[in-house]
Amino acid sequence: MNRNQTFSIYRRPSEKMGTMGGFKTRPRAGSKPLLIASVGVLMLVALIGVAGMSASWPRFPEGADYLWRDGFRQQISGYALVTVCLLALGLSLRKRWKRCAWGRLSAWRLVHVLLGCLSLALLGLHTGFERGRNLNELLWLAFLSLILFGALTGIVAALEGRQGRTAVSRGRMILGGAHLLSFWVLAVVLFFHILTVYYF
Amino acid sequence: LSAPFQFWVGTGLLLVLISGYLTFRLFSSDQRLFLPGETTAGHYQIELACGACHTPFRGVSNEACLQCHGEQLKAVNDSHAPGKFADPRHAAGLSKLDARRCVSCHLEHRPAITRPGDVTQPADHCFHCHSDVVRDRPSHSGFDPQGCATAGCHNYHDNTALYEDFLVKHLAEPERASNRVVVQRNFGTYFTTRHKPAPLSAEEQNAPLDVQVDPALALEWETTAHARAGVNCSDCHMVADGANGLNRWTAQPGWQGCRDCHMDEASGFLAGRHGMRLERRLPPMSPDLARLPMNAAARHRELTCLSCHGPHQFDTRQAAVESCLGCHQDEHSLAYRGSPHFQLWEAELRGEGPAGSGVSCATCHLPREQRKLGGTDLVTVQHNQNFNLRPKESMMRGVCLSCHGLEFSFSALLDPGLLRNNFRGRPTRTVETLNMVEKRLSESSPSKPNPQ
Repeated sequence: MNRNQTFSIYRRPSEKMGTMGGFKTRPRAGSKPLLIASVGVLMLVALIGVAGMSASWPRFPEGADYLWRDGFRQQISGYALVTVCLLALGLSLRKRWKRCAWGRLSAWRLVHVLLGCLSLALLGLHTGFERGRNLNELLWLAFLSLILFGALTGIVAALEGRQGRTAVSRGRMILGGAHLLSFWVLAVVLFFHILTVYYF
Repeated sequence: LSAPFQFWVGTGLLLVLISGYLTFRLFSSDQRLFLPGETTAGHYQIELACGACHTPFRGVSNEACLQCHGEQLKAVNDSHAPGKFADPRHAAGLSKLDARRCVSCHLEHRPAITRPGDVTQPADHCFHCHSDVVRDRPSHSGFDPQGCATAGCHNYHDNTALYEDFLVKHLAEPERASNRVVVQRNFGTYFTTRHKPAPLSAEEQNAPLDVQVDPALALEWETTAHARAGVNCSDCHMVADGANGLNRWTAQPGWQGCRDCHMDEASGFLAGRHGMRLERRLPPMSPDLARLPMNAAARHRELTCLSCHGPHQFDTRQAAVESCLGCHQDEHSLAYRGSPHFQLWEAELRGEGPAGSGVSCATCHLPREQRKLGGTDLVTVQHNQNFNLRPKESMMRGVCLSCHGLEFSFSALLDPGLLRNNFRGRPTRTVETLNMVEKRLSESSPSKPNPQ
C-alpha cells in the first residue's frame, strides 16, 4: 500500500461521470445521498454551535428541562450518545477489518453520516444545547469538531472523483485526518468527563 | 517515516499530553477545570473548595449541605426537613420528587435550569404532593400552581414569618410602632461583669520592647472598648507559633484572634458571604470577586474582621454604615443615604434620637440577636448577613417588626421598587395573603395566636 492510498476509504467504482475543479471526475455510487446527508449534518452542526455560543438562543420549552434535572435521565441520554458514537465506528471496522467487509461501502458511509446526525440530536438532549464550561465546553467543542470535520469529509468525498489525485482528494485526506484526530481527542476528553461525573 | 506513522505518533503524543494534563488537574488543589457550569451566587465564592460539598465518587450528601445550612434550617424550624418524609404516607410524593435529598431541588452548576432561590425544580413542584390544596382551601381555587412559593405566600423551608397564626397575631399593628428602637449590644457589659478587668491606659500597653509602638495608635486603642475591658496588645498580637509551640508577636493578627473572644460574631462572619472563603481555607473574599456592583477603588481589599472594624478603632458605628458603603455600590446601597432610615441613623449619631433608633446597614443586614448565656441575656450581632436575607420575609420577623407593623413591613419587603430605592416611599400594594387571612378570620372563630 503506498502512502497515497493509506487514508483512502473509497474502494468501489461509480458509474457516472462529472467535472470537478477542472478535472474529469466520476462521482461514486451513493454520492448524492452522501452529499445531501453531509450538508444536512453540517447545517445541524452550525445550528448547535450557534445555539451553544448564544445566550439568547431559544432553548427547549418550559417543562422540558426535566431531562437535565435528574442525573439518571442525563446518564441515559449520555450513554445513548456514546452508543451511537460507537455504532458509527462501524465504518472504521468496515474499512479496516476484512471480516466486516460486507455490504456496499456507500451504504456504510451513509449510515455513518446519519448516525452522526443522530448523535447531534442526542447531544442537544444531553446538554440542553448548552455548551457548558471548562471540561464540558472542551468536550462540546471536541464533539462538534468531530462532526464538523466528518460532515466536510463527507461533502468532499461525495464530490470526489474515482480517478486521479485531485485537490479534492488531498482535501479529503486532510479533513479525514482531522476527523480521525478529533475522534481520539474526543475519546480522551469523554473519558475524563465520565470519570469526573462520578468522581464529583 | 510514512505519513500515517507520523500521524499516529503525533496523535498518540497529543493524547498522552491531554491525558496527563487532565489527570494532573484532577488531583491538584485547583480543580476549576472540572466545574461543569456557572456556580450559583451562594456558592461561587467557595467553588474551588470542591471537597466542601463533594465526596469523591459519592456525590453531594445532605450532610455536606447541612454543615453550612443546618443551623439556619434548624433556627427556622424547616417546614420540609428530610426527617418528615420518613412517614410511609409520603411514598407516592417521593416517587415524583425525592424531597429527602437537598440536591433533588438544588442542583449546582446548572444555570440554565436554576430559578430564584437556587431552585432547580419547576415553580409548580409543590403540586407533586399538595395537588389537593383546593379541596382543603377553597380560597386557593384558581391560583396559578406556579405561584405557591413566588407570590410571597409560602416558602419551602422558612415559613416563620408566614404562619397564619403569626400573621393573625400581628394583623392589626399600626404602620409604625410607638417605641422604635433595636435592643442594645451588651457583650462588653457581660465581659466586664464576668471578668471584672481593670481599664488600661496607653502607658500600660504591653507590646514587647523590641516592637516600635506608634503613640497615636496606643492612644487610639486607649479609647476603645478593648482597653476598657483590659484587652492589651499581647492579647491580640501574640499568636501561637506552630513551629515551637510558643507565642510570638505578629504585627497583623488574623481573624482567628478576634474569634477567641467574639465567637458568635466570628461564626456568623465565617458562615456568611464575607467570611465563607476563610472558613474553607481559601484566600479572603475581596470586592474584586463579587458579583454585585462594588466600588472600583476598593476592589483589591480583603475581607477580614478588620476590613470593617478597623485595626485599632473598633468603631462599630463606622462598621455599620461607612464600611459597607466603602465597597457596596449597588442601587439599594447607593440609595441608602437618601432614605428615611439614614435620617434616623444621622439623628442618633447627632444625639437627637435615642440609642438604637437609627437604622444603619447593619441594623437590617447584621441584626442583633438575644440568647441566654450564663443567666445573662446576651445581645450580639449576627454577622451572617444571609441569615435574614432569603427568603425576603425572613427579615420581617427579626428586623422590620422592631419598628413597623406587619402589613406595612410585608408589603414593603415584597415591593421591588422599594427594595431598589432603599424604602424611600410607601408600599404601593397590599399583600393578598393578608387579605385572605383577614377574610378567613372573619369567617371563622379567631385562631389562637401561636406563641412563636
